[in-house]
Amino acid sequence: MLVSPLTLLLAVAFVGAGATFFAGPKARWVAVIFSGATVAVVVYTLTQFQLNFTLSYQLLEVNHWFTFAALPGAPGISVDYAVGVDGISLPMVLLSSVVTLAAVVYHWEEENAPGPFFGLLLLVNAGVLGVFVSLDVLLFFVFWEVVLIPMFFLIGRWGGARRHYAAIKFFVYTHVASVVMFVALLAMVFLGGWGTFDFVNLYGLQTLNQSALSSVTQVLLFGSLLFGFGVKLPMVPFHTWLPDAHVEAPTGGSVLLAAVLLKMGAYGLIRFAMPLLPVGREVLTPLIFFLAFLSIVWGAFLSLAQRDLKRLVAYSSINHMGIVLLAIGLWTQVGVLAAVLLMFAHGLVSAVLFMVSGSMHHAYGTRDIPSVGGMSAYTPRLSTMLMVGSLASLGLPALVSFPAEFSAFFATWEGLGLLVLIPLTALVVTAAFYLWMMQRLSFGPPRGSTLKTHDLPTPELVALSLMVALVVLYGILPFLVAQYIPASPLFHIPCFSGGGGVCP
Amino acid sequence: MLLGLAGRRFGRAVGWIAVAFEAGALVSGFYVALAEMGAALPYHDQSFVWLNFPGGTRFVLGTLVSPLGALMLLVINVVGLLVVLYSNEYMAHEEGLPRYYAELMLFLSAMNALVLADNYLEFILFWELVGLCSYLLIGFFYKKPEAASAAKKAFVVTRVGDVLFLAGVFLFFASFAGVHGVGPINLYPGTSCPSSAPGTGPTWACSGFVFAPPNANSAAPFLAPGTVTGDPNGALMTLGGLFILGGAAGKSAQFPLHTWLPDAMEGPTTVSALIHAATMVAAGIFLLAITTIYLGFTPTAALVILGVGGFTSLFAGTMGLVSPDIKRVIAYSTISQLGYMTMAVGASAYLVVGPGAAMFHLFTHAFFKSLLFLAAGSVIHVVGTQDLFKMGGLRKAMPITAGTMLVGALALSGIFPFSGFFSKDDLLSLTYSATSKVPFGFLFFALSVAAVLLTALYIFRLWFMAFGGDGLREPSAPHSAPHASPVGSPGPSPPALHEPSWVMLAPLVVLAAISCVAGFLPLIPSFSHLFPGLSWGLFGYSLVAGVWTFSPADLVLSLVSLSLAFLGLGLAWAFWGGGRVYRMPAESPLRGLHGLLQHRYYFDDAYDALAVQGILALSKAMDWVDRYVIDGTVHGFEQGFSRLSSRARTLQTGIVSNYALWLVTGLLVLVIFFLYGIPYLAPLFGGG
Amino acid sequence: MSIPLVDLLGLSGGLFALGIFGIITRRNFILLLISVEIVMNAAILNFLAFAYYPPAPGLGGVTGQSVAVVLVGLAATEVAVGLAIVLALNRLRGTINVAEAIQLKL
Repeated sequence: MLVSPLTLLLAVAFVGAGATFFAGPKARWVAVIFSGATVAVVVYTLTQFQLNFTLSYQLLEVNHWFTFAALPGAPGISVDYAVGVDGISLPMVLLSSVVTLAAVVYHWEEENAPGPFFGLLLLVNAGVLGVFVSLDVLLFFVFWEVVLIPMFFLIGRWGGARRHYAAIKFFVYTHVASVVMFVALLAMVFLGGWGTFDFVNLYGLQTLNQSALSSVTQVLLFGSLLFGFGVKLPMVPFHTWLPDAHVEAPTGGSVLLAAVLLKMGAYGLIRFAMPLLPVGREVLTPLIFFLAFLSIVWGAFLSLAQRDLKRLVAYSSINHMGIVLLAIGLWTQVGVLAAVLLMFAHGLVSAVLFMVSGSMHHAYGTRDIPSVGGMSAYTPRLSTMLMVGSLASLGLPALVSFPAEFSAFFATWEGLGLLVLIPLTALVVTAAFYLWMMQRLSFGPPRGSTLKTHDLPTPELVALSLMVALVVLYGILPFLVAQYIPASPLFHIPCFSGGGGVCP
Repeated sequence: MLLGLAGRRFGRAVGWIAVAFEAGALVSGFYVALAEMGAALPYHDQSFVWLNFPGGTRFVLGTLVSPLGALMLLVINVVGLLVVLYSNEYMAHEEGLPRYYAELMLFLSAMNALVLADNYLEFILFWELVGLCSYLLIGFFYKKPEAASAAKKAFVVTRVGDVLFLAGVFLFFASFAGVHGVGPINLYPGTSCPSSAPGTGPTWACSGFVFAPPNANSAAPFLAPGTVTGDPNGALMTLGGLFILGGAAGKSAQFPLHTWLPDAMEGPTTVSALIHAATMVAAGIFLLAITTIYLGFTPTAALVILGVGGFTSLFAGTMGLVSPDIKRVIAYSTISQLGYMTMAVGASAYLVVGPGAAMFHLFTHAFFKSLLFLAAGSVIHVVGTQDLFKMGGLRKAMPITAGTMLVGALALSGIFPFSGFFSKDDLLSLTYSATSKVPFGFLFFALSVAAVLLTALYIFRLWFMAFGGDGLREPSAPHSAPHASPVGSPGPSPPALHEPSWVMLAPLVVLAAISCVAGFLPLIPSFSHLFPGLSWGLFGYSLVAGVWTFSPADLVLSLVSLSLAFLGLGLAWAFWGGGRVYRMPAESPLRGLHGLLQHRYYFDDAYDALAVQGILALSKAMDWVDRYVIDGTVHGFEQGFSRLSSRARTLQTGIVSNYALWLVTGLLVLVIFFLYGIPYLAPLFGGG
Repeated sequence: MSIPLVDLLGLSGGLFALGIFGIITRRNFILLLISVEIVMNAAILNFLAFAYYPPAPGLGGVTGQSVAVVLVGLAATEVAVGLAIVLALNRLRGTINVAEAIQLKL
């Protein structure tokens, strides 16, 4: 049996997490070695990925795991260990591993139980990688839950003052969502008559699905999946766990949360809900658009009202993920491409911004925007990083968000016409709140505690520089990511191929 | 040429390195422009695919050397070189010089790339980049709250325009989808268009107006100039044109989005000269000029452009009349002149002729306006204030500055034989020719003529107040920069005012020389290709396609404009000449008008109250909703569940009989469900 | 002569209802046990009835009867355990009223 590099990837990630957890004081070295190795395997995977082979997943490995028999005698449903990647999951895998490496480097000086801390960080990453590479519904769900628990402990153990509240809120919220999602997925498997949890050949099953599931079932299942994945995304009005979780989580936790965890929701929508339940999708598409526009506008305006830098960035994440949801909801090829690109871009940019927030807290002892000013004079490097992050996030060309946002708006224009003015208007508000924030933080006469301030320590500088370098690299050469995305079986679904996107 | 970002660590030398790089850029710019003048077709390269969309749409980063682009290259690099040179002394005492030069070079690179862009996407890309550089450079003195605030304002206001611009590009894409292979995001669809006459090189008409709207027969894609046939997407096109105008208005500080430019004067004067007079603000005009291909299809949008430009030219000029700040006066003048150009583009688009008149004015304006700014900078550098009321008598101490600034002022007012005369004359004759064809044409013409008077009035007010009279009205510490830089040089502080060194004077002299002769440039045949659609005129005679023609109307027009300019000059002398400072008497009936002008027609206040405060209040309200309504619902669920669970706990009585009761009830419910519910529900779920 | 199935099921249902009624209403542990036994016997009777009238071929005869025999044994065991609990409860609490024995601890 051929062993996929993805199996190696998961093995490295999980072994790394375990080894780091028990590594004691030397944990940071173990962590950086293993996360470096993860990145190395991902890069190897990238080289093995064939861009013009688009009919199926690549680097497949399928092993039968066990058979799930609902009733004795009834035909069993096969549960497999099935892994593989396509153009949609590959950028996410890359993003997750790179961001984890940066987060580990960023927390180089962590002294509060470093072993468990780095171990849990790596475990989150391992779970996320599992989510993105697994091609079996049960496996997917197992990894999905694997992500949740270490994140709960990261927030609850290493978080800020209200960490217990935030951790519980995060856990309950996302857990309710994942239960709903799980039930819906199971119902899809059972009622859809798949005969297997393995979804390697899923999109070929679509016609079968359409006949097997009645319209009412499809709408109900789609609604449940939209809720389940939407909480993760997060979309307004199920977003309130996000600011609290971000504000209380340690920097590395916030970085992983924003950069990677949010993407799982969008990934689930692209992978399951949208292609497999066409009737449900068509019925609920207006709802998706409404929620997407609401998230975009809500996120932008609320960012404007925030005083805490991390809260501001958290709400801007809601704004960006709203654009992702919008692009997914369009369900055109360009839309999906834009969504994945934007997820990738947002992952890098929000990592930068959350790291900057953490560093600001280290340097000034607060993240309160009005009480600090003139950062350019005292901490020029921090200020520069803040500026790059903000400018990238507001969609400046030559930084990674621009091609992504442009593609998203282009797709929106193609799909919705002049309604594109809604997100575009929100873009002005986005620019306004970032610039206002920078004006208050970076410029002007110095304010805030200037006695104990120090500029970025080396590890933080290294981590931030890595992320900023990627932001610039992928901003100037966006096709380095974009070229992978269409290499996905998703792009061969019959009703999806024209780019028009409406199934007959 | 595109990369001038070297040398962040070269200390003092960085300025000279920048000069060297910029000189190199100028040489290559000249080379490219000359090559363009000689070439039969625009140089066009679309090899670099930036983003490949499924479905065939591709976004390309290409290079296109169009006549307009070549002209812009010349402007950018000549002014750029002189400004960088000038900066070597002007900025010598500031901290953060490597940052300054890096941003300046980034700006120049982006600007060069902008004018060489071959499609709207690439245009937007560099458009935003120059916006970023403008933001960074306005906020160069970042410790000054006003500078940071002005930078933010500039970015946000232009961002409004950018958003409209993007929407406009999408609309054009919709209107022209399917016409050209790569999509209508291409600026110049007719890359294979025939040259108009052998040996004369490309013409605007070739790459521009003469292509068919999408519904035309594809076998005959080129129509005769001016015979634009009906457009099936007329409403979309018009809306697109208006959105594009919005983008241009943001960048070029046209009427509703003009408020950022005066505030942008918080940046270093060199930056004002380069970005906010000569190049970046002209990018909006450039955008409109290259878009005239499309705007020709939509007379409504062209009319609006005409109106906005005409209104702005007068509107901004009046505000320039009362400002006490030397730089702001020039800034208002810039807005006003940009209004002229906008109006000219609108008229060209309406009349379906090339935008050469606007580009000609852009060309001359770039030189004399950067000259004015640099001269003002030299004054500020020496005197240490920007307040006109404190200056005076400077012509004795600074004869060269005074002389060059006089040249600039004369050119700006459009007095023969300085360059402004020619460009303004051509522009007026264009608007005059539009009077009969455009609705309200005479109104626009009147606006533009009135603005001529105003221009001469405010610019000579400035000149007389700064250089006329006997001496400084209110001497302040000389040689200190006007901005509160904490490490600013105390300097030797000599009691006598004197000219700055040659490093600053040389650019002034060069620019003055160019301002004198630039008006004659279109007479050189190869240069005339850079001004498509321009009919260069001189006192009634005009040169159209190499033939001199005479029109009495043009002669009258020239004389009227010239006499108005002299009238303005004379009025300025009467009020402010010879050291007089006219202060409006308090009981004057015009006092209210004066206040209105000084408050900039209350536009800034209105924007602040409506847009800024309104949006802030809205966001606060939404935050409240978020915290208490949405999160409150979540907490409500939480409390509901905890109440429910404490109530549910009372069910656990421990009495066996009660449990048995629940057991039986549950059993009954299940039995009923299986007997009656399943048969009823099963069909709903597709047979289960 | 054979008793019709309906009568058998009716008797069984009646016994079941009586037993359930007893379980729900009685607080005396011994009466409770007796009620449980009645429910049990209703079930046994059901088995025997269907053993006599098989609902499908192959389910009649000895299948139901053997289950009934096992259930009789089970009932005896249950009563033994139940009475042991009654004794223990009586010793510890001095009462055999189930409403007073609401906690699983002492």
